[in-house]
Amino acid sequence: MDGNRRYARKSHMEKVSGGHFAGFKKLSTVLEWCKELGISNVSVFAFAINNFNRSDEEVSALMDLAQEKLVELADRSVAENNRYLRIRVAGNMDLLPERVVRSAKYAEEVTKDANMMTLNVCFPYSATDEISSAIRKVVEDAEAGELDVSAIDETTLEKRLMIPGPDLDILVRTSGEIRFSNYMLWQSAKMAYIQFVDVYWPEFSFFHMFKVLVSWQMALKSINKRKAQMGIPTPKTR
Amino acid sequence: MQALVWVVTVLLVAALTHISGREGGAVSGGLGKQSARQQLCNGACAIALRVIHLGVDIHRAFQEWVQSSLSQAGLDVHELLDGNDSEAISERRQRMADFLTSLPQRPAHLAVILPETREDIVNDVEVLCASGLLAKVPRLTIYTRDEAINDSVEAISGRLRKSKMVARAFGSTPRIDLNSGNGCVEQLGIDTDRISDTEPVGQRADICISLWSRGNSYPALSALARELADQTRRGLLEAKQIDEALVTRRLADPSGYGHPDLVILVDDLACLPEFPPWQLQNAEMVQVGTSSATGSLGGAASGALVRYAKVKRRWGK
Repeated sequence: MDGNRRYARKSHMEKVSGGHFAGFKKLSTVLEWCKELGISNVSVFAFAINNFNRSDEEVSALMDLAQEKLVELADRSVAENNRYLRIRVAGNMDLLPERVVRSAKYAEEVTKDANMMTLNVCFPYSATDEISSAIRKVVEDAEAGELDVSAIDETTLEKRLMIPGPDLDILVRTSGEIRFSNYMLWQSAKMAYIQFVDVYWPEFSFFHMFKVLVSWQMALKSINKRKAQMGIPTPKTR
Repeated sequence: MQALVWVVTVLLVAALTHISGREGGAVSGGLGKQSARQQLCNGACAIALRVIHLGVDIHRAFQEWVQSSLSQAGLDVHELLDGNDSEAISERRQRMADFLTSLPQRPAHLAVILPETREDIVNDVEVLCASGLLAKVPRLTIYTRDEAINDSVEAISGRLRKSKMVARAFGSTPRIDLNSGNGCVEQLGIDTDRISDTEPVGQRADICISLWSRGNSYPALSALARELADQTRRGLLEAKQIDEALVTRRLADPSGYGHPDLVILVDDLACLPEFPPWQLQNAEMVQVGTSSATGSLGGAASGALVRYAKVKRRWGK
């Protein structure tokens, strides 16, 4: 979800937090599209650990936004009879203010029984922190006798990631930047279809999404063939 | 015009899908036969999608042809390095080198991901080494998912040792550190009189090349986890000491350079074939199709360097 601040500047908004608010509105819209398209797992990069280097004003505004919108998304999901959206907050919660942690826990708790779509909100997150945490958890489990050291392999590490699965199919980065910025590296490197889209996140339209999905569909046969050669499991049905 | 075509196509498909869905809802019990109209709508949707796929395919093939033509006409590094040493070629080569070294930013560490089906990996490594030296990129990693690259270490070493292409790119015989997947470092073209004792080992070389395969990727992370678990069991470490800083130190690039700044993916598929995930953290990624890379891998690398030069690094700010 990159490009909120540049969108705010482009739109001559008074504060960059206006761009982040527009970004949240776009997220809500995109979740609706995903729901209609039957996409059952969505992960979004809401706040990177090194975003704490931004100005105090912007960080505070982002924390306020997270505190408010996590609850709003959760309540909206609960209000719908079929409880479609399960919210998980993936990140290093120790770095967050208490008020945001409370909102995150509330959102996770009230939506834990939803089973149609899972939204992983990466906040605050970095892939290297995720991998390091998984390594630490594996070592702790080995120390506790739950796991033999010789049995530690990729699968045991992967199960302890903040976003353990299912396998990532498509990674989309908006705003035209062509880098990973320390996001879902473990998952992306396993044959995820990577698309860099040259549009700011609040301007991401269904047209852009359609293009990404169509090009992924066209590549899917080749992707599954390569995954089979690599021994990476592929879904049985699409 | 292209946008208008897309909009019309999307609306058409959406309308057909909506009609099809409405018809499906009207079928009672879910197991009834599809009406003729619904079958027609489903068929029309499938045809429309196939037409879209074909259109995108044609458009993409045309774009690749254009790109390939541009790279042939422009940055044909391979031709400059493989050609003779006539005055004209030497002058063009120098202009190319001056252009590449004048770029506002160049990666300190360039990684190239080659597909497993590449025919002549030794040639590819030679071309990439020469391109790196021409652009003064001090650190180069070449990755193939399978072990083809490590199986060819001897051939690669022999080729680089005698390579005229590499010498032309550098202007003389460069010092090359060649690291294979099993951790062995071979120093090529080394002149002991030129070594300074105060320089870090990896940085004595004019270019440091690593040959990576899948073993450097997820298995390396699992091996690190096993090693740390073993150290914890022996009381040398506590689990709570394992944090990002510790893992970063253990996975630091042994040559002294950071992780790749630029990754060139030579593949028609925009997918990473299990390249080491930890090392991707700060990387920009440029994809080059295999058809445009076949004729001029050096040109493709130079094009990626030009693209990298325009990137703004914000580091989260």
